[in-house]
Amino acid sequence: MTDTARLHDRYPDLGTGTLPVGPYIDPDYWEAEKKHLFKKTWLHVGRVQELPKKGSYMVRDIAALDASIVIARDRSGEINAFHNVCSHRLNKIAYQPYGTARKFACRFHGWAYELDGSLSGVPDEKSFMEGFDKACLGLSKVSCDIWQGFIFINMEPQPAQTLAEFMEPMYGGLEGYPFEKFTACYGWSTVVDANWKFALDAFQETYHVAYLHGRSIADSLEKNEEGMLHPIDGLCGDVHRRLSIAGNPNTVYGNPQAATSGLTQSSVSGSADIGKRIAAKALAAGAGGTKMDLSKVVLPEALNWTKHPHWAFDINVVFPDFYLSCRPNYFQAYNFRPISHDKTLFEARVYYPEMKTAGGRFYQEYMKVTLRDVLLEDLATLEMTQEAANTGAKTEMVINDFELMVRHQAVVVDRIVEAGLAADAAAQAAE
Amino acid sequence: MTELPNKFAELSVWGAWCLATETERNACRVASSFEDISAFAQALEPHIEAICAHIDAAQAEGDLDQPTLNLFHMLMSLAEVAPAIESYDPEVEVVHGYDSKLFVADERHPLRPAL
Repeated sequence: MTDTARLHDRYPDLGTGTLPVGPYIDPDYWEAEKKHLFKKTWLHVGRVQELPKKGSYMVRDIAALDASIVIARDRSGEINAFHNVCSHRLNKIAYQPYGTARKFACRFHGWAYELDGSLSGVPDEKSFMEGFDKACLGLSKVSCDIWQGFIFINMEPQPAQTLAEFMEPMYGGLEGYPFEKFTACYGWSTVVDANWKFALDAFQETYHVAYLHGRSIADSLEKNEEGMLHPIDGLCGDVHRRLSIAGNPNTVYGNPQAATSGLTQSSVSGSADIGKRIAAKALAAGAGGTKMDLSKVVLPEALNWTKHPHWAFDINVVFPDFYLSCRPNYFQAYNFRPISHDKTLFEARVYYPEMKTAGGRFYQEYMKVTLRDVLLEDLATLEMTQEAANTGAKTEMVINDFELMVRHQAVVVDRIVEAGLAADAAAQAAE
Repeated sequence: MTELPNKFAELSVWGAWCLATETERNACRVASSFEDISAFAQALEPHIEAICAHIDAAQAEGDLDQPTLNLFHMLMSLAEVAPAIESYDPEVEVVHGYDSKLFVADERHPLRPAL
């Protein structure tokens, strides 16, 4: 315990007590989250660059929405989203996760749809009944909008907030971050047997880094005088949250300027240790390796909002399940997409600048593989956490000051779920 | 044996590491012994600069032939084994880690670099 100001002091409404385990293991709670939260909010589904031309499409099967959604770029260049369900006797209209199409066609009876979802082709159309009107039988639209090149969908036909209104209070200041310059994307995915909130929690605090990542990247974050890995600062909004993290510039992984500046030396070069030599050479080989000159990119001031000299990256959790971590030289975008109360599809993507040199690619591969291995360390905890929660041995979790984001998530989700359940109860009472 | 550019012929003994995808390279790493990956890294590390220079020159001439591509893939394998050597010695896999075979690399993502 210390006398210094605590992050929690700024957010008295979030409380300071223990957190109940129930919401992480209860199937009924998950059903309420689906109904009152996931089906009523904006969800990130990908980048605009994934749909490079007219007719490019992607399909997202999203259990939290009980839906398969097609997101496609139409002939005018607009991006639209609709349900992957034929208007005739159902079946689907898109069958691959990614593709390019001139039209969408159902494999059952051959109904054909334009890229904007309108129905354009019905075999043997005159056999349908009087009043049959193709204009009314397009694919069911899903609300879709774009923020800084990220595509979001919302199951509400008339969302309570526009995407801009949803993002602005916490992330308006991030606009101008060079997301569009980082177009070399690597991704991995897995289904973990863990609640989506447990999964996200493992990524929104730094308390675990010294221990869980003790062998790997713990050294690349900055420690305070007491040797502790505390975040620089944290912000909790109505639903979103942010953490600011300091790095150790003497490490390759914690060096935010690598590959984007002429800097080639680090304190690890010349080491007798082969592992450190490879790391140092990766950093040196990567210098100046990017296709685009990123040295003059001006980052938005809201990124390192405390102006900490050793700031390395921000963790931004775009409510509910989108983790966006921004660094000067790359960003990570993770979705923690729930499948059930104890299953989560974890989709991790990292976006780097494209490289023009072999050394640049070697540096990038080194960074990417290091990140993947760190994620394997994180992932290993999740199923054990869930198994432990399922035993019921503990009904509460204990939270420290720097685990504020874990608390914020639990409190915000619960506020929304409770409000939804109360509205349901009121509606039922009125009947 | 996997063909490499002439001046890197001595590295041909490590030809099994000329693998085009992250998935293959990781599978090779976790199926190897720590001694194997260390020997591979020790052999390749002194050549990193020359390998990069050779690939860049070939690319500048628009002549990325198969031996050069093999060399590039070997360099990518060095990056693959680096974390094991740096962080997980004497293990080849992530210590207490999630099974990497379950954490599937999306090799077909539209924005994944071809090289």
